[in-house]
Formats: sequence, structure tokens, C-alpha cells
Amino acid sequence: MSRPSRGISGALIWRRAYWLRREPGRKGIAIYLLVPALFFLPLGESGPFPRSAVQGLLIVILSLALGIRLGGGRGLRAEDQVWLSQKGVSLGDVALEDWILDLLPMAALSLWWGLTAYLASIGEGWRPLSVFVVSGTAFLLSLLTRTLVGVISAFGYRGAGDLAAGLIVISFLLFQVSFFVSPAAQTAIRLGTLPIFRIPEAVRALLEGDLAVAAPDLLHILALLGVMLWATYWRMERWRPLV
Amino acid sequence: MSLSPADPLEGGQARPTGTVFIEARNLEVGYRSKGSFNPGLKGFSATFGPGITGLIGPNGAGKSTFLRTVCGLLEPRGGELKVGGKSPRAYVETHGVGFLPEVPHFPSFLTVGEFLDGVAGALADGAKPSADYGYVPGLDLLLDRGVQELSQGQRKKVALGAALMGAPEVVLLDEPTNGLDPVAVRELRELLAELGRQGFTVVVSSHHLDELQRLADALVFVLDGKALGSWSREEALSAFGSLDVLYEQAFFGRIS
Repeated sequence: MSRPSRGISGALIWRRAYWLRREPGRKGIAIYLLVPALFFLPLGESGPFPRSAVQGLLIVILSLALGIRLGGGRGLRAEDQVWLSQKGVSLGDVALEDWILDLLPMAALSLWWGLTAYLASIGEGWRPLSVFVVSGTAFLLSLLTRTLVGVISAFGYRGAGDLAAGLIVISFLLFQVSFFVSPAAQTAIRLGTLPIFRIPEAVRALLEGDLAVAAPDLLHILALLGVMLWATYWRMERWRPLV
Repeated sequence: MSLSPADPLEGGQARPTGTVFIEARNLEVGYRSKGSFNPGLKGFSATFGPGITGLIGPNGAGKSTFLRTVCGLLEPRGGELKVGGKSPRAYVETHGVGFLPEVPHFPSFLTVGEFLDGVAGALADGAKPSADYGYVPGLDLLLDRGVQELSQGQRKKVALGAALMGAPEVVLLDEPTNGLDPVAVRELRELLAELGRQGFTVVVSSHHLDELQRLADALVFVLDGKALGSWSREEALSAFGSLDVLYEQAFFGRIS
């Protein structure tokens, strides 16, 4: 007899309610949809930073916030899982189903941000390809962050969002340091930190067909996603909610 | 009482009384806390068959620990526990059980209907999300309510609805009547009696001895992580007159 599974449609019943009422919630969704209106303001034109840098920073912040909140420990608590566990459902499957479903809001919002950034910048000569560069970057940023928070939560750390944010800050600082060190140290830093701040360049290179530049970082991202998902599944298969 | 595809009263698999469905031999189970090991069960041996078995004993005796172990939430560290001839985890993964924790928690962002539909979607027997959860009296009136709005007794009803969904052959109830009003207690008693008649293996941990005296087919007294004794209801009543007397004699060491 095979193990029961909720399947994607069963998982969607709880996940949809989670999106609408918890993370990001209706207010959060409205904020994610409305903040890109800032792209249409003359941001940065009279300040020290170029307009595109301000837009980029906003998109990075939105993407990281979305990833951290979707994967956060405020999702299913341990004691909530007992209802699925007692019916024989694999909790590893539950974690993977939720991860797959979270791709939907991440993809939709990333596309929205890419589209609004492009529309706000047509006058500055942005090409249509920019939509996909911005959307792809936002999607990979939120995906990597969501998966990171998910694996930290799976191992029982309650402040998973805070820890993930800390790791992202450290990766950012080391990314800046890497410009001033030897090639060997640069490689070590690249492999040992989250590839979050290399995503924009990798996505742009991919869309422009420059595989030699895009491939190493994209492979790093894929490998990291694979390892984190496997670790999440492995841990959740062995864990039992103690109520 | 209305029926639904997930209705335990419709899907029960009768077993003849007298067969053993849950068997514990010298069971050792405990909790790890701050580096030390706290034993919950120490050499617990007892058998449970179809019908209703009451687990009685003082607080901290190991009753809830036993139910959690049968449910596969805790791993035995020693001895043996078989459920339907399998290890608890193997049994739960293939058949599922119905477990009602003493204090039920739910995902706080759901309505009752969404919660129950989500659990129903997990069942392998073809049960589909259904608007009819009438096998627990009054449950269908709560479907549109948020789980956070519920009173303690209403939470118990919702939890019971989820536990009994899919008609699991093994039903484990930890203090099921706590927080229920007298009418709900009577309705629960009728529901459990029906499950017992149909041959479900129902284990009820409770301090409400008068309820168990009316309901249980068999009794197991748990003290200090061990099963001190087990009796059929008839044996218990003929030997002690009432469960209150049995409890006091067992608690004060007059039963070996």
C-alpha cells in the first residue's frame, strides 16, 4: 500500500489561505503590487545615485522580503503537522508541495516588477529584454531566499528569517571584499557564499546568449537549490511533530 | 447523524472482539530534554483489541506518551510495540490512525472547512474534500468559522472530525471530553460507543472515570510508565465495584 499524499490540489487548499491571510497576506500583496509605482517617480535623478540603481535596490529588497516571508517559520507550526502526519502523509512531500506552490506568487510578482520597471524606463531606452532580466533576477532572488529559509526552518531553527537575512548580509559583504582579493580567494568566496548578488549579471548574460559568463553562476545557483531542497526533504521525512 | 465519504461510521472495518490489535511488550519510550533523557514509559506491557479501552492513571504516568508512540510521533528506545502486526510508523504510513491530542492546535490562518478539506485531501482511500462532516455532531455548523475563533470545546470537535476522518481502524483519544459541554459529552459518548460496536480499536486516555465506566470495554491502569494492570469492564466492576475504587487501590499500591 503506497503512502497517502495531499497532492498539489490538496496542498493548495491550505497554501492559498496562507498566502491570503498570513504571508504575505492581502495587505502584503497590495504592497508588493503598489511599491513598483515608485519606479515612475523621478527617483535618483536629483540624488547621488543613478535611477537604475535605485530601481535595482527596490527590486532586490522586494524579492528578498518576499522570499523570507513565504518561507518563514510563521507557516505551519510543528503541532499543526500532526494532522497530516497521523494520516501517513510524508512531511517531506508536504514541504516540497508548498515549495512548488510558492513558485506561483514568486513568478507572478517578479513578472509584474519586471514589467513595471520596463514601462517606467522606456523613455531611457530600455529594451523589451529588460523585462526578463529584471523578472528573472527577482524570481531567482526570491526563490533562493525562500529555499534558504525553508531549509533552516526544517532543521528546527525558529528565527529562520533572521538567520537567512544575516547570511545574505554576510554574502553581500564578502561579495564586495572579493573585488580586492587574489583570484584564488575570489573563487573561494564565490563558492562559499550565497550567489545572490551575482544573479543580475548571470541572468543578463543568459538572456544575451553569453553562456560563458552565465553558466558558472547559474550552475552554482541550481546546485545550491538542489542541495537545500534535498536537505529539507531529508530532514522533514525524519522529523515528527511532538504534540 | 449524517454520513459522508469520510464518515467513520460508514467505513468501519469490523474485527471480532478478543483479537489483539496493539501489543506493547516491555516498551521503553522517553523524551530528550536539555541533554538528558526523561523516561515516559519504562517496561510498559499491555494489549489492546477492538472496542474501547480506557487508559487511566495519574498525571505524568505515561498515558499520553503511549498514545503518541502508537501514533508514530515517538520512537521506542526499547521493548516492542506492534500495531496491526507492524511497527507504529510503518502502520501509520500505510493505514493512518486517528489521534486527538489533549490540546489540539490548528494552522491559525484556516477556516474549519479549509482545515478539514486539507486533511481529507490527504487520504489515500479516495475520500475527497466534502462539505459534510456531520459524523461529529455540530461540526458542520462551524465550517465557515476561523479556527482561531473557536472555543475549547469547539476545537475538540474539529480535532475529532480530523482524527476520525478516513475511518482509521485505530483511534487514539487523549482527554477527549475536556472542555466539552454536557450535551457534547453525551454526543461524543454515543459516537465512541458506535465506533466500539463496529470493531474500531479505540484507546481513550481520560480522568473522567464515570465516563469510562459507562463506555469502556476494557481498562488499563498506568503508573510510573508501567501498565499496572488491565481488566475487562465486567472484571473491574465485579472486583472493585466502581472505577473510583479501582483507581484509589491502584494509586495507593494496593494492587500489584
